Amino acid sequence: MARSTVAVISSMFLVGLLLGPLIFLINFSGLSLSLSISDIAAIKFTFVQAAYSATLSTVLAIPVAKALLRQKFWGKSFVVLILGAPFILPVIVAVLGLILVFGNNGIVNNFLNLIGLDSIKIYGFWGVILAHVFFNLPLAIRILLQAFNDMPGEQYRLVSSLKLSSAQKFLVLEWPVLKKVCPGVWAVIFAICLSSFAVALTLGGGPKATTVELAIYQAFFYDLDFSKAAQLALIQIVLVFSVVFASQFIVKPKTVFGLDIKISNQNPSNFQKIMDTSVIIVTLLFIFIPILVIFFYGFANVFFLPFSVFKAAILSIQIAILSSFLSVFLGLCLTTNMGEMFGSLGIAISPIVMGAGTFLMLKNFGNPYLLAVPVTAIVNALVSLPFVIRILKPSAVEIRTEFENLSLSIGLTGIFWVWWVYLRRLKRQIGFSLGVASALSMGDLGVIVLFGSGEIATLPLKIYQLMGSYRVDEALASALLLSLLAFGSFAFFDKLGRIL
Amino acid sequence: MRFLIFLTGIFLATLASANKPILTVYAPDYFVSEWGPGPSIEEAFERICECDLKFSAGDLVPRLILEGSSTEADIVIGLNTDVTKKARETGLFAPHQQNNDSLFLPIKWSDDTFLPFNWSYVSFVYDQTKISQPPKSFDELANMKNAKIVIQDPRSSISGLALVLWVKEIYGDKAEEYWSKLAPKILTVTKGWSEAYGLFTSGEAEIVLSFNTSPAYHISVEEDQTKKAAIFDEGHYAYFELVGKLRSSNQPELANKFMQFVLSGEFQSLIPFTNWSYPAAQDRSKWPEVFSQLPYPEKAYFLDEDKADKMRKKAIEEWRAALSQ
Repeated sequence: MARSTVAVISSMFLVGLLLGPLIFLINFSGLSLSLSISDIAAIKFTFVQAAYSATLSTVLAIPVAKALLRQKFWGKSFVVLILGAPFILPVIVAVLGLILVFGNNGIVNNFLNLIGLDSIKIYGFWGVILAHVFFNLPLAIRILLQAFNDMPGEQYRLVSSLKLSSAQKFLVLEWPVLKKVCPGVWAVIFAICLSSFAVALTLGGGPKATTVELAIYQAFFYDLDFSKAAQLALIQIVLVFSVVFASQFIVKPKTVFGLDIKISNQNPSNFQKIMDTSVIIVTLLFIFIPILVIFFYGFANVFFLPFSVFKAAILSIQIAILSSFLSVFLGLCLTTNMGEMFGSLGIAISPIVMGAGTFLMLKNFGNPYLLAVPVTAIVNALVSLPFVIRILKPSAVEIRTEFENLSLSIGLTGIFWVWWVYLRRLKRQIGFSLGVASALSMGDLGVIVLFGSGEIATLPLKIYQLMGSYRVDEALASALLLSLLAFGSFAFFDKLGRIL
Repeated sequence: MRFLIFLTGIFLATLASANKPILTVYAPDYFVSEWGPGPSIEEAFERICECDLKFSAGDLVPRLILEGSSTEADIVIGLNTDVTKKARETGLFAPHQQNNDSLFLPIKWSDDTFLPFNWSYVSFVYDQTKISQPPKSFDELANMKNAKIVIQDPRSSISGLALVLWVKEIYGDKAEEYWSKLAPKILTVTKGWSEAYGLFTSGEAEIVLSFNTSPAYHISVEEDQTKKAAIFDEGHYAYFELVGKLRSSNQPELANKFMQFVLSGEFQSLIPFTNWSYPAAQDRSKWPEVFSQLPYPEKAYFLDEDKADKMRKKAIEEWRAALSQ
């Protein structure tokens, strides 16, 4: 069938793009086969923290998404929108924000001391988990909320007319949705946390929190042992791949037929209202106070930033637009199980190895530095692809099963089908995924930067430069600018998908 | 369309500089950034060289290894003594051909491949408003009350590695024991210097591993006199940044001229306020006052690259084991 051909071709293209660099690196340096004790400790820690982070983020997202679904309140769409924020902050800044809130001298501990309680200690295993939940909980909430929203309204009606108990309601209504979405969400968060490095180390409080990515960094930049770096990168890929593969077996999409009309028909009880409100408030406090703190510190300097920072911002915007469209285009071609699996490679591959391998690959075709901008855009697109596919796939699969025969019967096929049925019905998801991809690209340092930036200076790079030359205040101001931009582009595309 | 404009731009730019030879200098990102020494060095050198100096930012040695002898670099600036062994082994570097006697360093410099252009002492910087009695030795550091320290990871940061070698050199077989003693005082370990220093300036920790020249930034830019470097009686690890010339350079004369320029008064005077470190080829009497008045240790430790290379693995493993408990 034509569509599966599209998916097969795009998957092959993707695997070539993603694994090509690794193969070039292995070809250049060979592949190490032995593992030291500290490597094994790193693999163990990486796996355990990623599993905890993914589980907590996914489980905590369920009540929040349900509360947001049930309750109507002023500013709700803004709250939903702003949930994208932690995800796009540059790591170095987000960590600082978290520490200003939860750290030794942070807001929480100052408050606890004030009322005579003992301080909490952020540095350690749970600090790592806290940071990872901070980054990923909002993403999980958004994806779940989207899935709940996509349930046909008739189901709610039917269920309420049947006078089912809440446990029965859960089994009939929510369980199928959760079963469909959660494994994918879990797997993607697991993959993100697997490649964590600076966050894990800083909040982990020391070398106990060594991840595989740190070991890759060490092998690459310090021991200059590229074969070791390639080996560890391969281990990372196998870990992510097996988890994503396993998640495919849990998800058996059950098609839900409805009239394709969204009717919300929810009458929450007062008790539920209070519960939901507290859930929403606690989540918002957790997610926004660190961001507000950065805003607070950065605001004073944002108008006094040097011109070069704004120039970098413009380049970042251009790259973000390019890469988000590329990512969503690829994502639309890959809304199958196979596509989801291969698409996940984008976050499974260590950026260091990806950068080095891309460099080796491009060396054969001329000066890699001249290609820095397109390469950065492509790599950013590949990194956001796993999220884009997660967002698009559930609805895309549904549309295909639901409308395929119907469209065939009236002879609506090929490109017309894609345009009139497929894309039209996916516009909300497309908007959301364009938003996520552009925001992610905005916050990404870009792999090529590691190996020579040439003329390219993106906004995140400027932030690192400022941090590296004592200018923490200006770095925070630039981070504020970055957050506003990333957030703006996210809001723009997300809104566009809703109103078009 | 935009791409065409871009191409035309490149074409015109190439034409404009066609009659000027290009000197390609690889440097770390911080060096090339507008807040680093790169831009002013470029300007000063282009005034005398009849050439176009082009910086290319990125990680130095991994990049050279990937590029091999086809590298476009003529000069590599910003190397440190912990990677010189690997850099030397690539065989890509030519002798620097400058006189090591023109250097003013706390140790005798005898390397004829890599030339230091700035230096400082690895030190613990503290906040005077929070610490009234700064530690005068590693022992005092470990015995401090109510002080939290942030250090960098020796596996991902040069300054972190310098600390581990420094401790190993002083404590020898007892290094692991010392690390166990210091461990409770260590708030956390960061990937690089920037993260650690950010934690320090935001008040999360009272002491940070940095350089004895760091307070110069706070004094001259922020007029803040409260950041001080703790000077240890047992002496400090000296940290040098180096420049090297590539064998494969197609501009050998320009490259030589640049190496001479590195030791010139003009280059050296640019270092303190852009790199926040001591110039390597200038006598203390010529330093800006802020720098010459900074406290400094009596004794400097320096490990030559073979010794450092031999010690490194064991020293890092001891550090890891002690801090993982």
